[in-house]
Amino acid sequence: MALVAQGAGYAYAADTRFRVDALREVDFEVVPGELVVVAGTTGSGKSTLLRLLAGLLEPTEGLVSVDGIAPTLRAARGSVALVFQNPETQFFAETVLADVAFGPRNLGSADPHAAAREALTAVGLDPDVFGPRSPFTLSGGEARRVAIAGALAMKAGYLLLDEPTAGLDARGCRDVVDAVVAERDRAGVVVVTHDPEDFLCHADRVVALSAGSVVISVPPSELTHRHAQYESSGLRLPEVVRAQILARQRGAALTGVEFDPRAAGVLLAESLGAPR
Amino acid sequence: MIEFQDVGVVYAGSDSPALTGVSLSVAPGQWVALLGANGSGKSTLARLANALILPTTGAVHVDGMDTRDESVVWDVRSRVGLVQQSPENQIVGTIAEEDVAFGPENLGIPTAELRTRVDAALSAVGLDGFQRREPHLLSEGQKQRLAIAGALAMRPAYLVLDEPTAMLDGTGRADVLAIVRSLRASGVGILHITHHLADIASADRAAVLDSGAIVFEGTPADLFADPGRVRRLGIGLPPMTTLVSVLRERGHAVPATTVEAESLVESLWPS
Ligand SMILES: Nc1ncnc2c1ncn2[C@@H]1O[C@H](COP(=O)(O)OP(=O)(O)OP(=O)(O)O)[C@@H](O)[C@H]1O
Ligand SMILES: Nc1ncnc2c1ncn2[C@@H]1O[C@H](COP(=O)(O)OP(=O)(O)OP(=O)(O)O)[C@@H](O)[C@H]1O
Ligand SMILES: [Mg+2]
Ligand SMILES: [Mg+2]
Repeated sequence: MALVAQGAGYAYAADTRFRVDALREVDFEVVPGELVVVAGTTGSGKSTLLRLLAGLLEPTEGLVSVDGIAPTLRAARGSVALVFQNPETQFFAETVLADVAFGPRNLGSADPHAAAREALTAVGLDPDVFGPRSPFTLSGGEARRVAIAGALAMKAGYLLLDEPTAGLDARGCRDVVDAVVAERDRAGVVVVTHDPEDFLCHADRVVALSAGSVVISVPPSELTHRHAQYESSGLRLPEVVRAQILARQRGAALTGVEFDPRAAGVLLAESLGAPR
Repeated sequence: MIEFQDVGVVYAGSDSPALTGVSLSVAPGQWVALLGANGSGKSTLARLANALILPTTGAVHVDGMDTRDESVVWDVRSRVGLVQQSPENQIVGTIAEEDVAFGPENLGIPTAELRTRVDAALSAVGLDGFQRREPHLLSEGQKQRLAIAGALAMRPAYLVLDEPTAMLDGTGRADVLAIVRSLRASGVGILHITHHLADIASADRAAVLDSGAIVFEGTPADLFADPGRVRRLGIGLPPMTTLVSVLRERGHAVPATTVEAESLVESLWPS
């Protein structure tokens, strides 16, 4: 069982002079029980990779498969859920509840409304307040949460999220991170983000894309050793991690690296000793 | 000056108001940050500033013009540039340079100057070379940059930015903050909506909305100095602020507003 891309490439408008090679020879894999963070600068191909993995686009070279079959096939229907970067483009139903219930209903759920209510609650939206509303007049953060609820409600084997915390407030971020991390118990999860801070401490692996190619694929704890390479692809490690790297360069004796800001503060304080 | 005076907004078909009794102003050359939870009314306030929507109660004035006065709507819109939260909503051109030219063209800017403005705006947001790209074929971050370029090319007296860095990577974010600083220096008034406290460390003022009402107004330094209050206001603390507060609790001399690794390390391990 795995969602896999092998030597996958994608070119938009391939046969025209506007051809854009968005992805080149990408090898990527996520298995159930795993959470992979995909980072990369603007235009590096992150959303294109998700579209390939979800079967919305067919690779122009190489192949993509979900548990052994192409995600574009009918038999693969419902095995991959994708939350778009621009959630508004994903809505179609008259009410939020109907929109979120659509996936589970379509996949033969016994009680799609219950699934929808549960998913809305998980992303911090009261189903009684938001359920009856139109999905088209929501605020930006409300819309993103509804789109995420729609994907959670599908209980797909693979959950792909494009910038799931962009535009969310502090509580929304926590709710969504918790809900997504909990999905790992039953699904393979891929989180695309240009700002990996929220998910880094939960990730099993971090994949960095640069100009359409995978340049790094390591567990988060190894990022500090690879930070030069990571930053040379235009990415920036979280400030709390950079602080530890810079402190070490100035002679601070640090063992290991902390992703949690509080723990990082304690680590730095210990290496400083008593204040001068 | 943009002045929101005791503004209330109730959307059609909605029973609870999106804004109630909001008063706030943005002066030329002033960078005002607006924070608040999802659904607290930030984008509603942004849309009021350039008469995209009108207040249900109270009034909004732009350099003395009442936005409800239909005869001044175009004048208001040429003075107040708005970069909406969803860039999709404001893309009009079939190629990037047309999109950016659309606003200034409507202002009657002569062709030669138009060219300069469009290229300068695209370059400022890091979209050099994207002149002839179709906007719907851009990545989301590229679209967000394009929307900002469109507003810059208008050379407005005021700029309202609704989460302008939500889709941008670290470099894009730094570019946008540099643009905001230089606009402020040239006298543009800025209303900057964001969820990231780290983005507004050098803003002049900060206001926080909660359920449609302003619950805090002060300086960013006031916010940074009181992490407990920030949390109670429902705003995320920058992770660096949490790290810095651990060091400060233990007596290390680090300014509370430190959000960059470089300045932290410079304070503690001076070179
Ligand atoms: N056209 C509309 N009709 C009805 N209600 C609306 C409409 N637009 C927004 N609202 C509601 O008004 C409230 C304020 O929305 P607004 O978009 O101003 O919030 P916001 O602070 O920008 O939130 P976010 O951080 O999520 O972007 C929200 O509860 C939203 O659901
Ligand atoms: N429909 C399309 N047609 C042509 N080119 C496209 C299309 N969509 C994206 N591109 C281009 O392909 C490249 C990769 O785009 P993609 O959307 O995958 O980037 P991304 O990493 O998701 O960026 P962002 O962080 O800005 O969302 C970019 O150069 C983009 O301009
Ligand atoms: Mg993208
Ligand atoms: Mg908003």
